[in-house]
Amino acid sequence: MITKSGAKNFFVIGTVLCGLSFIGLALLTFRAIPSRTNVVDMDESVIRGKKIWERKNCMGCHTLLGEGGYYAPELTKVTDRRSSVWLNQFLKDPEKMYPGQRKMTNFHFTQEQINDIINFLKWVGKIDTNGFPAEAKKGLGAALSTNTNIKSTSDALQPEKMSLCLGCHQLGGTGGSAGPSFDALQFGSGKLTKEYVQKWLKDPQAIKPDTAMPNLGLGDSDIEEITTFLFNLKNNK
Amino acid sequence: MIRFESQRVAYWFFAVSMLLFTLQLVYGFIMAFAHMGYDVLHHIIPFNTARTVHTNLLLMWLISGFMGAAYFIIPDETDRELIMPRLAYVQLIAYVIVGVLSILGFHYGIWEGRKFLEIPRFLDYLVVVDVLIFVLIIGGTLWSGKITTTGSVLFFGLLMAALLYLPGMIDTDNQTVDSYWRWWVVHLWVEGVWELIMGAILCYLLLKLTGVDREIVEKWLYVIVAFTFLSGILGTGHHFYWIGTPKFWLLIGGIFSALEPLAFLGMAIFGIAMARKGSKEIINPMAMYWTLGCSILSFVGAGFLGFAHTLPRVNLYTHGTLVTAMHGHLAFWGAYAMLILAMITYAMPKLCCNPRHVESSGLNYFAFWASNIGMISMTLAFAVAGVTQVYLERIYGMDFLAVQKEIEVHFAGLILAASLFTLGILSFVINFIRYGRPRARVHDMSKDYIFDEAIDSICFKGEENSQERDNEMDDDEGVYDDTEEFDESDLEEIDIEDDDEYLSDEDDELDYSESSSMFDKNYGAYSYDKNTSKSYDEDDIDDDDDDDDDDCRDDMDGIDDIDDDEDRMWNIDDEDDIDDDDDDDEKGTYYDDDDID
Ligand code: HEM
Ligand code: HEM
Ligand SMILES: [Fe+2]
Repeated sequence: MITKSGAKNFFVIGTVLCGLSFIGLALLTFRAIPSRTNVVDMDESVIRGKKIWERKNCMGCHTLLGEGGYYAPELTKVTDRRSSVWLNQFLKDPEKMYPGQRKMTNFHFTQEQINDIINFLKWVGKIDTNGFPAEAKKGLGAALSTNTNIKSTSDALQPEKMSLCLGCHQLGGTGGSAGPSFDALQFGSGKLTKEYVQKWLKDPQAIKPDTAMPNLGLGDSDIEEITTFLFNLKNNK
Repeated sequence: MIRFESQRVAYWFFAVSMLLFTLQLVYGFIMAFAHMGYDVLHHIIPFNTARTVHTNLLLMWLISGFMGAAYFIIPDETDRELIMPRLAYVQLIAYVIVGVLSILGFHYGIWEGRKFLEIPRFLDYLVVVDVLIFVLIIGGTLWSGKITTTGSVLFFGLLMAALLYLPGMIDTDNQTVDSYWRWWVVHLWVEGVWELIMGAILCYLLLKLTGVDREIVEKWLYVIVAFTFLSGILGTGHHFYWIGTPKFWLLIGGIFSALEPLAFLGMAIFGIAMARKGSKEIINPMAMYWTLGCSILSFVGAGFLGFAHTLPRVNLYTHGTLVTAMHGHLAFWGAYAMLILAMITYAMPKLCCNPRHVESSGLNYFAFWASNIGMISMTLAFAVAGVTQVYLERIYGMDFLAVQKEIEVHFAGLILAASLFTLGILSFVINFIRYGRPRARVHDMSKDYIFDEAIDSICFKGEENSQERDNEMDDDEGVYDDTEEFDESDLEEIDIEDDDEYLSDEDDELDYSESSSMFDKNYGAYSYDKNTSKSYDEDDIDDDDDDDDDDCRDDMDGIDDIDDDEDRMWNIDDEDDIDDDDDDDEKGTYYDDDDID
């Protein structure tokens, strides 16, 4: 059987060896971090965004790189999921975007702060995370599908603010599923006249007080642009 | 029956622990209700505040418990008073002030959003100073006293824990680097140096409770902490899989963290083996319950549930989900929370000179089972919620909030389980309060043995004694007069008798049999010269109004004083005396009929 001094040596030698390896690996890690995290893209705005992230303790509810609270969504790849327009709108008044749902504090950010946060999140989204978060399975996933990536802002034809809608509605098979799919709605027939849709967009609750759709605070020109786009889409089909 | 005056400071650290622990649970409930959809406090205490307070209170009460444990154990192990005992009280007060400021600040958004390390930078410096004072007192005491393996492993763990706080204070603009250093604190604490503290405290408790040979116990301590560092240091890699650090961590972190459960398995086997080997009659069974509970559940919570999600293939899906919360709860509970509760259960009868565990073990027994069954059920509730979340959100791609709606019902289960848990903890706290304040007489070790033995035979065991007592009870109408048999004769004897005579029959007190000359030297040191603090000199004791319990020692030396002393516990010759003692009226009750029967 091992003696006490033998056990002590085992402890001391093991600890020293592991400690030294750990420090060696730390050096390798720090050598790799700049390229894996695109340090060159870390501009003033990104750094300000990180400071806001820290000062407001966003990590107290959300995870970022999988670290934080489990109360609110994981945000590592949020900029793939949501457009800047959507995020911008959301951060101005989070509760408005999810009426009656789990609440996020309204921090009353200035426009500049919102830009910084979005830039920070975009930078985080490009970190090489060895594949986290994992791609969800298709199949059953598609049936339940709500967490689809919305790359709609890259679609030049779409009005910029359309991406706000696609957080909840689908168009061409992509988008959220909290609201009815635009692919299924019959724009221009029944009650869905252009005037009705414009009135709805202006203030959904005025028409249907208990609707889950938020008032997106769209201006008249945005509404005109969006409805024109949607109604043209139908005509083209 | 503490052996050194300065050990008493431990009581106050334990009291702070109990208070902060209770508060921690309140914030747990706030979060559990929020998860269920009842975030009614959102505008006063939003979730991030509740979470930050919950986890920081956890760390604070555990650390306060460690400090108390160290202040209790180190004098005992080193055979001397703490150096600078008054500074220990200053350190306690400073600790409480920093804690209160941090917790208040969290409610006003004064924090750093860095999970577990939310204390703002300017308070970090105060934490560091405070902990340095603590380490200085413990280290200095160890340095000038007897150095045992248990004592030095404990000190090494505490010192390293203090030093490892520093990487968490490195400023950086890069989120990945920020996270990297954060793990040096969080992981290297709970899966590294805290395990040393845990091993040392377990070792101390097992030594005291089982009476197994010190050589054997301490050999195992070395083996366990060797495994801890062999696996735990490189095991840090399991937090470096996905944060932007290189891919080799998947391999290294995977392999080494998979070995981490071995250290906890070691603790479990160690605890059980020593308990079975022990020949000593266990006079404080609840301390043994908590000690074994700790060594076993730490393996389940940290070892088994940690292993369950430590391999990269699994962790890719479970990372940052409620599965982590499941593991976090049982690991902290099993390894560290129960450890502190074991230490408190062991130390309180000694600190308060109040062996209530005879008649109060019922409350502690209830606390043990309620809190453990509660916590295991909470873990199950988190597990079901977590696994569901992993499948629906991570594997099948459902929207986060939609999944949260699906699992709301499991938080109802969590709240139920947490209620049972809280009931257990409240019982523990009530039991703690009922012990009363620290008022133990202090004994130099020559008298310690007799004292222990005397209390044991009267209060805990001693078949013939209880027979005798029964008889006397009848005669004296329920009043047991033990003065003759005990006070005068025994105490007088203690004073007269030569130290060496005690050594001969101390077969279960390892320390003393090791070296008698050492102990003579310390006896002298204790009373007179080397002691740094004057207040402990015999002559000064009555002047010391700071600490009204000091006069205990007078009782030891002069029996005459006893009648004037309201708080005494030896002079139980008069029922009225017991009832008068409103401060802590349970104290005398172990002389009641019920207990003796
Ligand atoms: C009344 C009992 C308790 C309840 C209801 C409770 C509930 C919770 C909840 C809801 C969370 C937040 C998870 C999230 O971010 O969404 C949490 C976090 C945490 N709690 Fe508790 N808790 C309780 C007691 C405890 C105890 C006794 C401990 C330690 C022994 C503990 C340790 C922790 C830790 C370490 C975390 C952070 C977990 C992580 O980030 O992975 N809790 N608790
Ligand atoms: C007493 C010891 C332990 C305690 C108190 C503990 C506590 C915790 C806590 C609180 C977290 C959440 C950290 C965060 O997300 O910020 C965590 C994460 C983790 N722990 Fe432990 N742990 C212990 C031991 C272990 C062991 C022995 C293993 C492995 C065998 C392990 C594996 C893990 C893993 C893989 C994670 C990351 C989970 C994720 O990716 O979200 N833990 N632990
Ligand atoms: Fe870890």
